[in-house]
Amino acid sequence: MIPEIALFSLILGTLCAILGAGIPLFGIATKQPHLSRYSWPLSYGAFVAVTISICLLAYSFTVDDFSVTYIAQHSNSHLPVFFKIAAVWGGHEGSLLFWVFSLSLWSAAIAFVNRNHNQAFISRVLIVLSLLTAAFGLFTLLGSNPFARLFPVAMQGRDLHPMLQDVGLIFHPPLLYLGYVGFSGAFAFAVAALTMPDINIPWPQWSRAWTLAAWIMLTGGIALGSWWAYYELGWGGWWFWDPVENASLLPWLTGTALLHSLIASEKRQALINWSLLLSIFTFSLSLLGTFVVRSGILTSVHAFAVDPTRGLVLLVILAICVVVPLTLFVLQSGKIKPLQLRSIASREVLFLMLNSLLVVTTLSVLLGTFYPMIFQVFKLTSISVGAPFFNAVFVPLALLCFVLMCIAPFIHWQKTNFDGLNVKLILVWVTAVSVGSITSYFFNQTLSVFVLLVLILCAGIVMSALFAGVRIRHLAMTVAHIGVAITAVGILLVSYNSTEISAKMSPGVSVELDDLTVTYIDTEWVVAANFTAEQAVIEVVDVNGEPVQLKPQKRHYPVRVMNMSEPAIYSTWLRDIYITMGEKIDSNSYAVRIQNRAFINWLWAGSIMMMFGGILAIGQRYAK
Amino acid sequence: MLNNKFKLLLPSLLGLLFVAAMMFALTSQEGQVTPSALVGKPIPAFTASSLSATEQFVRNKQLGSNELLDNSIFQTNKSYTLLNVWASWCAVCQSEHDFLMQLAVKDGMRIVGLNYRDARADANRVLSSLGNPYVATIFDPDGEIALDMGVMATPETYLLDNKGIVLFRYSGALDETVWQHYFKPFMSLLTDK
Amino acid sequence: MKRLSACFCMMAMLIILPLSAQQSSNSSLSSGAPKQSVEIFKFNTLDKQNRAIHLARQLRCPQCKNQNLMESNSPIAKDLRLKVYVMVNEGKTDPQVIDFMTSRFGDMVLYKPKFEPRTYVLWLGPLFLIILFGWLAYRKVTASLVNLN
Repeated sequence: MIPEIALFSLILGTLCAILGAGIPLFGIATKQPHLSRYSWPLSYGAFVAVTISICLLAYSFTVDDFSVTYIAQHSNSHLPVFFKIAAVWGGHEGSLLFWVFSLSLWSAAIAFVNRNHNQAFISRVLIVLSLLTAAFGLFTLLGSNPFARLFPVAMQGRDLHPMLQDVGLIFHPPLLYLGYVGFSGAFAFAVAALTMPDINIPWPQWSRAWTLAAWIMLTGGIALGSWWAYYELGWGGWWFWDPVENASLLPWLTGTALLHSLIASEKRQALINWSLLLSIFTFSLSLLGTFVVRSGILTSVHAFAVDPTRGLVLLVILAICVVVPLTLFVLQSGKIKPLQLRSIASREVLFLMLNSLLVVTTLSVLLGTFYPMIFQVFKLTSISVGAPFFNAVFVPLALLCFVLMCIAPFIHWQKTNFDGLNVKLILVWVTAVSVGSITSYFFNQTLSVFVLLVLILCAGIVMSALFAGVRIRHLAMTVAHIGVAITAVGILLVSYNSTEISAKMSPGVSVELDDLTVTYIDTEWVVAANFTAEQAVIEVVDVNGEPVQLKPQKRHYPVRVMNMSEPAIYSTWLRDIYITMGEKIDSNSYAVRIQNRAFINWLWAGSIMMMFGGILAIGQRYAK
Repeated sequence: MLNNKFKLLLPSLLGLLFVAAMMFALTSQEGQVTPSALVGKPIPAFTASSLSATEQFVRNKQLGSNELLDNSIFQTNKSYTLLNVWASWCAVCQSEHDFLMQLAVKDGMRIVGLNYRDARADANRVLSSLGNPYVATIFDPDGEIALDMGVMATPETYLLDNKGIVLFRYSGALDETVWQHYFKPFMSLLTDK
Repeated sequence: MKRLSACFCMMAMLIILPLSAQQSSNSSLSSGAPKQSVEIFKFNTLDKQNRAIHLARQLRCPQCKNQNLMESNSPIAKDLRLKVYVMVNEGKTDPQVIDFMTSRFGDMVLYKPKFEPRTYVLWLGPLFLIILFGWLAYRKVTASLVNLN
């Protein structure tokens, strides 16, 4: 009964979305502008209906309703409760429902916050959002129904994939989807603006808050995904340039460019074309990412196991979302105010350069991700494009962005005030070089010049931000940019300073790694709700003498018949001690892999700082 | 005038192109066979014991001439040889076993087996219970020979000509459809010689 | 087809693991020494270990869905990883190891595409893009400055 109510609620929500787009559109066509006010109640209605739908799905999971196919495929009665709820978005159908939910959520939020702004304009924004909600709602109902019944009813579920039974799963996909979908807000603002080019509407100002919110979520989603991969997969890696990962990075890159471009558009009516195009393409890249994951078009460890026909629907939606706004853009291109510059040393030019760099990076990653597919299509011998290519391309471009970040705090709008700037710049660079060199000396074990240069650059970012004067209105920028620098230092040092050792260990055996002494104490047996495991008790002592115990496991999941190796991690600011159990060599010894992952936690800390900078930026907007 | 119209239609054209390209990519993915790097080349040189040899005799190097195998097994006066990589622990291999028996017995195909990362006893047990379609089986317990050949998984079947040159490699279980689609076209070429 | 491949991989993973422990005593004629465990392989020098790991990271597991030889625990990945370790330990150069792998498994096993005519677009693309965007930006900036004057 409950699943049917949920299905009905979803239908209702989709209907609200269809009407929410249809009625105002009809009003525009027949010159009845008063019809536009229906956008608001219908957006709220869609939101309530879809929320009820997804909540009832979650409820059905918690009561083990295995008469629903989706629940039978992704859950199990022994599964802990919070994983049952997380299983809602653990498969294709449920995650699509989450997309519809996210769309309706953002629509309702935008409707509410902007309720007192230009009604004709905001109504158009809501039309676009309603169309998207309706499209995804229909797709879910007709092609990926999470409420389809299973007959005969399953006695027990197939269990959630063991790799997904983790706290990271509870938050990673929702954050990611909220981020992807959040950019639909900027998209809708841009498209609406393109339909009303003659009226002077401050749409960049309104769009910016939503873009920031989406960007924060996407940053969090990506960082969480990396963190999850890091502690779950067992080899200490956190980014693999896998097609699905790249698919999430692409909208983040253009989204970052959009963020900055909107500032220029809001404050100086500059870079309007960039803001429009970036709004269109960021959301389109989100759709592309969704398409890539679900269609099977690219080989990836992440991909949902779905068939190509579902991918086709997403492809069509994507095509419409690119073609229609771009056609509008071409139509209106003559009406956009051209860029007016007073000096090259101005923030407008800086943002132009940043936008260019980020777009080139996006296109390069896109090229590398799809290149093997091109070969496949033309039946050439297959090639692989992996980390070596992407790192070679991404790193120099990122470093160029860092150079821009170093000078950014000193460059003003229109024209930079050069008084006293020389002195400040010299101070900044002297401090940066000193800090960089000192840190390099202490932490750079490989004595690499590259490491030294990057450390100086990151120190430069921090010093510039601080020396330019910590003004309240620059606080968001300062925090976010320092966050980037910290993340970069973390990435740099974890790549260059990490060490590892693999050894055959049994109770009583000790090995040494750098300043650590690692001793294997004992092997225990663990029985949990849905798995059993062999657990090693390992003691690690560093030079300071404080021993810590780590307990890596080799888990066996009976329902899906899978084995997983669960690493044990001890975290400090300077490094993670990361231990995994490998093969069983003989009756009481295992191959144990001990890693010293240097500065890895700076990565996560830096990401959180970036997100916090974004939150501050939203706060600053509303403080005015 | 025309220039403006063209600019207006450009996004739609590009969009159509993009969709077409993606659809083509999606559909062309089905039925892809990863070609072997050995196509056109002979199987790499090896020496190994046959599956039927006894372990003790192997250690004492007391093997009969038909129990010590090397590349010459692929030289034949028949037009072609099949090399089938299999193992007793591989369930999918057992699903193609009946078809291999049919090929060997009814169609008179010459099939050489490569027993991959297996134990002699287990492999011999499978052959005695399900039937032996192989004229000879190479015993490769460490997978060294398979590695040299670029074997990626089991089962795999290689089509070789009468001199032992690799013509084609199929990854997956053999059945009538696969045989007709991939192997038969080669057959007609060969028998014309 | 893909699902079947995933099936082999998974089954192989589940079944070969216990078997491999027993097999270390069986030696075929083709290999004399007992099989070393790749997870506790001992290198002659630290430099060789780093080089081997770095190389293994650049090589793709032929059967898995997009994992390198260090990341994957499937039997073929472990076999190939061990082969890389052994070859590097013996003193073989990087190109020799790469050549060994590509001649058996094809170019798809390399994560760093070779720089050859069919990958010119890939490797030179980003360079071309940055020059293009740089030039467009320069033109835009100079045009905008002239405008106001």
